[in-house]
Amino acid sequence: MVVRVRLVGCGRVITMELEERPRTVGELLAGLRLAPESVVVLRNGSLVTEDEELVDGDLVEVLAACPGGIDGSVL
Amino acid sequence: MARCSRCGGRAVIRAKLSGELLCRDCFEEYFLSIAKRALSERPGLEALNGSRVLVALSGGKDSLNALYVLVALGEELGLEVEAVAVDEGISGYRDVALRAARDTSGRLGVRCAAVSFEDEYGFTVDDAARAYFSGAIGYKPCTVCGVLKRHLINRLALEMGADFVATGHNMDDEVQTLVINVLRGDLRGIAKEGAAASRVEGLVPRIKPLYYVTDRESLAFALLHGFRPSPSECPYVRLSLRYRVRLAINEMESAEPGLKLRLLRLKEELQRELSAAASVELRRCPYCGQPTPRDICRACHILREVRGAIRLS
Repeated sequence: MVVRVRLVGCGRVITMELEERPRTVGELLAGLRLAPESVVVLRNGSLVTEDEELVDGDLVEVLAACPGGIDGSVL
Repeated sequence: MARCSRCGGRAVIRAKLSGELLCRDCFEEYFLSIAKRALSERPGLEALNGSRVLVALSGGKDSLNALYVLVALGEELGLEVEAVAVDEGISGYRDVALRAARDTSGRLGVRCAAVSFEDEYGFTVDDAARAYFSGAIGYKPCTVCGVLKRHLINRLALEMGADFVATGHNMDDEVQTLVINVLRGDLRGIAKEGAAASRVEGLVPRIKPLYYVTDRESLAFALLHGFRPSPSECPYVRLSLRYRVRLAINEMESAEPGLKLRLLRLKEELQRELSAAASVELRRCPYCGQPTPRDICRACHILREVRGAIRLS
């Protein structure tokens, strides 16, 4: 396992492990054919931009920016 | 690691409107400034000063962010902020969001009223959806939900003497609405959207603090304030044209950045040009008394259809 990826929403959660590490978040999104405009990305729990470089062992969460679908209980 | 264009800190997002890379603190500043800009353009800061604003809370990221910014800007702009959360009756979806609405308004010190379709109308959106799927009514659940929610919130705002109703509509919603109206060939729909903040007796004007905020920025802002996304979406959303339009626009924006902003500008230009088409004669609905260009308002028409279908089933 090199990079763990968790795709969240709208309506489902998909987890996967990538054996080959993409260089950046942008490359990861392109590989997953996800429009950067419709997601935000957390790397190990922190919000990052598409230029962010990935390293082995990273957990990358890709969250869909859909209407609603937010549990706001911890504001 | 990308650097913040303003302070050199660690960037967390690229802002759509300014194109800047922003760190957490500068993003907060940016978010509040574009919300203030939206409010200063419509309805204008003078109109807002000393006003009572009712925030329509769904419990999703956008309406919670709208509540947050209105509270954050409240003292500076002279606002008295209250909230209302509407339970449309969508099982397994709305209950989580309503808890978020209650918790958030409580933490921000804002009084939040709770109302439900079940109490107000005697049926839920789930009931209306069953009637739609069985062929008893022609209205999709999203139409029933959207029209009745606007109708109910307007009535509540009138009853409590609110000067404005604030909603969480963001830039993506605005652009999608334009494209939907174009696809439907609805010229008056395009013109009418621009008139939403104008004064019509019996209609509390709407304000949209997130007008310049994208869906993505709204989600990022919610996350930075400690929200966690729940992997749920409205079970009826995929029936709507808006759903398909949203996917298409996001794909095109990623391939050709700037498209959303161009569409937003086009929408504003069209609304200026079409303002005459928006000036339709309004009359009072004989059933509920709210203003409408029709003989019977759309909400009362939907209520009649759904109630008839439920009685028959």
